[in-house]
Amino acid sequence: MSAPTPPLPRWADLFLLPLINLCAAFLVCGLVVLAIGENPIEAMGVMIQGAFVFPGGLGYTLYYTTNIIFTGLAVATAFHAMMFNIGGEGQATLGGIGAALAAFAFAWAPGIIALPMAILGSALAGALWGVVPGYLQAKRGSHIVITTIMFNFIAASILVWLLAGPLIQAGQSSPQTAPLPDQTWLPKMQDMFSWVGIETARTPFNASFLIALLALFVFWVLIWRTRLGYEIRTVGQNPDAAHYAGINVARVIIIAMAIAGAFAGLLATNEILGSSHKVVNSFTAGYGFTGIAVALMGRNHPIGIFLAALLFGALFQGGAELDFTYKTISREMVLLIQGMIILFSGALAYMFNPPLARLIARMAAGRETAHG
Amino acid sequence: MNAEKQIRNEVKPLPIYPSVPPVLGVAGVSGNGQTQLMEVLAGMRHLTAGSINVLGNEVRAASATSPRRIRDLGVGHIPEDRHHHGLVLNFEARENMILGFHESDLTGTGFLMDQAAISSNCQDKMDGFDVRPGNPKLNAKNFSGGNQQKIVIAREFSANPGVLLVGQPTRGVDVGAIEFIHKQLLELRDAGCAILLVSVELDEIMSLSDRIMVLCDGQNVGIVDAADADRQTLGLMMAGQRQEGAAA
Repeated sequence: MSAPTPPLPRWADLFLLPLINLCAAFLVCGLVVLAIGENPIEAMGVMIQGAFVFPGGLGYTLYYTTNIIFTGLAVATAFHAMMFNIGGEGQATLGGIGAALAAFAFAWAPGIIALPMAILGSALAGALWGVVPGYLQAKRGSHIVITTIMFNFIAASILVWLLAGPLIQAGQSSPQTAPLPDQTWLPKMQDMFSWVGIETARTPFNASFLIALLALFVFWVLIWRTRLGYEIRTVGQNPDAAHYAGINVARVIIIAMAIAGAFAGLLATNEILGSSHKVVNSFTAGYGFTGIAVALMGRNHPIGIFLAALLFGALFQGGAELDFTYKTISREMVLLIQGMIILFSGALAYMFNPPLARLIARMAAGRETAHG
Repeated sequence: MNAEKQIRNEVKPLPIYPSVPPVLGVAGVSGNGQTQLMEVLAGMRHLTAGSINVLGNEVRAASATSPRRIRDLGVGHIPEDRHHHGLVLNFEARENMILGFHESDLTGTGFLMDQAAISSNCQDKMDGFDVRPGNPKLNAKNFSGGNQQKIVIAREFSANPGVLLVGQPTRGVDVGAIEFIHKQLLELRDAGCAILLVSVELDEIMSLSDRIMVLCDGQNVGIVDAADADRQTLGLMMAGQRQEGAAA
């Protein structure tokens, strides 16, 4: 047995350790890029330029970021109640269906009613898809991991059925809905900027980013400032103590899963109300799973989730640029980078903790002797 | 009252009247129904038969009981296992100081919990009960066993309960804190609170209780006055031997 590790200072735990994990992931990827005969520094430069510098790059990055914030929050909310919500994908799918149904149902109404209803529709439908596994876990003991995964498949099947049948656009054969009524479209960022006279590149980046920022804030208030958040955290940290304290554990689990599902459902505000304006098959494109990595990396804290979502958004966009620029580097390379980041900041998150803690402790001790 | 059957432990119907006299000690070899008795009385475990009379309010087996309802009736509970039930170790002391009271006015009356009120509430109780270090923002797991117990005791005592259920109040607690906790318990009794004390420390039971009930195999073997009790009698009763003259 080695000597016990001294605790890591808070700043190092929150910033230095994730940074080191990130660098380790990029280092390994750099070696792979080197091995296939390209210059890793150059490739890194292309990625960063593609994600932030080239016209439209930043817009696309933030567009992806918006999606990942929503699914990251869906995982984090459930995680505070110690529920591992793998169902972001299915909850987001239902969110899309809910948004579309609400938008069509309120097609007669002006935008000021129809748009909030469509947003509400996405959140409510997502919440429904969180509540059912939550109920099964809380009352029946069915494991949340299993049920949420299965609900992803059920949601995907429902979507295919709807798109191939009841919701298909009349007179065409591709499985997608008709365009949503245009009063339910969220404004694009470039349009909003041009209202105040700033011209930017055309991207799918839209006003749902503001909804995502609001969601981050609401999440923070909910978890750390409300009584419900206190109950959620108590159930997550110690369900026995929660029971002792008179908290209805089953009820809290169900509510936490409802809120988690609602966050995931809001992904539809970006993908559908903000960008494509129609529901297409598998529009969730794996964001639900990326949300798991983001919540993990962001330590279930809104600031961390925002930064991690930005990182993954940049990886999506920069990776596309990489794919575009190099013949030898394909999209799979981007998947490799993502995988490495998940590996180093998720599975191996604490690998560098002991040596780093010892180093900091030794430095602190050294400083004391120098002064003493 | 009956607790649900748990392995072989079952609390058989037993009359207890914690309101007279003030401190009723529950003695017995660990695992003879004390835990179940406490949990039933605290509402953490469902009654399967009979009823509990709490300060004039009857809680029946059929009625939905919950720890919150019992607490609202004026019952405080210091659980036997503070790490399992009494505290959330990863929470700050101030968050533990409102465990079970997060919907009371300790957290303010607004929609959001009043952080300043939560901190000052904790600071007051830490000062009053000499919790060291007196830092409301320190995580519960970083306090010593004695100070963790003092956090639980400060929380439950400050609510001015009419009935207090106390389980193993001094388990894993240092000598200085034991004395302090005993003193606080007796002060609470003098203020008119009925106390049910469960402990594996026979000395503790004998020195604090007015009457002593002995449990064996989930059954009430008898209740004796603390003044008449000696270790040998209690020991025989703990083994299941009924005593002449002891009220059953």
